[in-house]
Amino acid sequence: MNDHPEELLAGYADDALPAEERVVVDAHLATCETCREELALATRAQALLGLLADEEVPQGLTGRVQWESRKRPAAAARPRERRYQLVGLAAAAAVVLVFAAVVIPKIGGGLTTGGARTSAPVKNAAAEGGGGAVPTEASPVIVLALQNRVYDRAALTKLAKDLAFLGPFARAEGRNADRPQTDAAVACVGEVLAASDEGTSLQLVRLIRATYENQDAYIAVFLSSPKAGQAPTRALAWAVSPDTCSLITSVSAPV
Amino acid sequence: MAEEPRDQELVRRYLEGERDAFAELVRRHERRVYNLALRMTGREEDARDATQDAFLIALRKLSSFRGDAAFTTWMHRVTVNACYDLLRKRRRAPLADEAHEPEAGPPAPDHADAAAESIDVQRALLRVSAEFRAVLVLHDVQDVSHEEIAEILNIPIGTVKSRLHRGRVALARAMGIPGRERPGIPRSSDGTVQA
Repeated sequence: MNDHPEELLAGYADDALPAEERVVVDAHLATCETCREELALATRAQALLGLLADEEVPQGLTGRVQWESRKRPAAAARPRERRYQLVGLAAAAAVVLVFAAVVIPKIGGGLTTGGARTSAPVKNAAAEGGGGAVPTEASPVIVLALQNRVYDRAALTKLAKDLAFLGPFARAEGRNADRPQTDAAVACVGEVLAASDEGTSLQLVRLIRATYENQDAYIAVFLSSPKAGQAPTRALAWAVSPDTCSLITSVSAPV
Repeated sequence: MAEEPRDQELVRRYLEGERDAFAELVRRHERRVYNLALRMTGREEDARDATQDAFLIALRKLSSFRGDAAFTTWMHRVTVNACYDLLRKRRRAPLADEAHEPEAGPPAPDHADAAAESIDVQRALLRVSAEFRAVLVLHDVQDVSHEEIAEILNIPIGTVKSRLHRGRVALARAMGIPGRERPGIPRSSDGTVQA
């Protein structure tokens, strides 16, 4: 410590000192050029730090820890673990069902390859699992999230990995599109799905409108299982052109 | 303290087996945790890692959260420590692309653009030592009170106040804002990291 009233100068710069302390600092400043200069610097720094606004949390960032916390509940809840996995499956199935229900009418039964394989077998899983365990679990509904974000291949891969942990429980983050926009996105991604030769069962986890490299894109993240009802083994992210409803790129990461 | 009874209620429920309760805590706090980590580490990549580490540590240690502090305070402490750990690791093994980043020398002082200026502020912040940076970020960016910062960092309140002042001075100097050295005080005392 020294004789400069450092502990008071911060409060002085913030104009937060009680009168009696302010008097002490004023008296010191009158005779100390160093502290006058430092106070000017500190005041400037304080204002500059105010420029640092909060930034948006990256999509899916906490997906893994949320998933961990559900997978590994507190000791008291351990016996119920198995049941929750079933519920997870049912919820996953619900997503696919919602997706299929919205897509199929729009493209007139054209959802043959990916769609037919995903929706039909999973429907059974939903019927088995969905009726029981926790009826209060709200069925996830597809929402198109709007983001002012530019993705590249690396960011897309990271997104797929992060969202894989969130899985079908994915909460819609960011600003949501309105219904017609969402329907258009679902139809567009559905076209790609119908045309794809993806030989696995896909569950849609998230639908985002953002920018991929330089172009406007829908970004769809899927969980991919070898067969419907089985645990997912890969996460898949597509960037789809909204203009042509065609695939710009596809990345995949192990789960 | 009963400042955040709802957070503590969620902790209790999670520990009693309500599996969704912790995820709700994460959702509530992720914005503050991520932004604290972002300002402490200065890189999105590191902030992501620190955020994930912080929540995983919080999950593991949740049963040691006794509720004698607000959950926010406790979570901030866990986050700051996760950032310190990550910064220590980075110092030992810098990321490959770090070599390409321009060294944060004093930037042009007269930026008209606030966005560009905030990038300069973030860079200068990284040149303030981590212990001082934590106080600056908590107080001047996140509006946390002196008292709570003292609790988060486990230091006396007087130390919070003097670090705040010295950290601000160090930041202004790191930004190249003109100011005279204080005579007789070693340079390291103002919190600036000497490269």
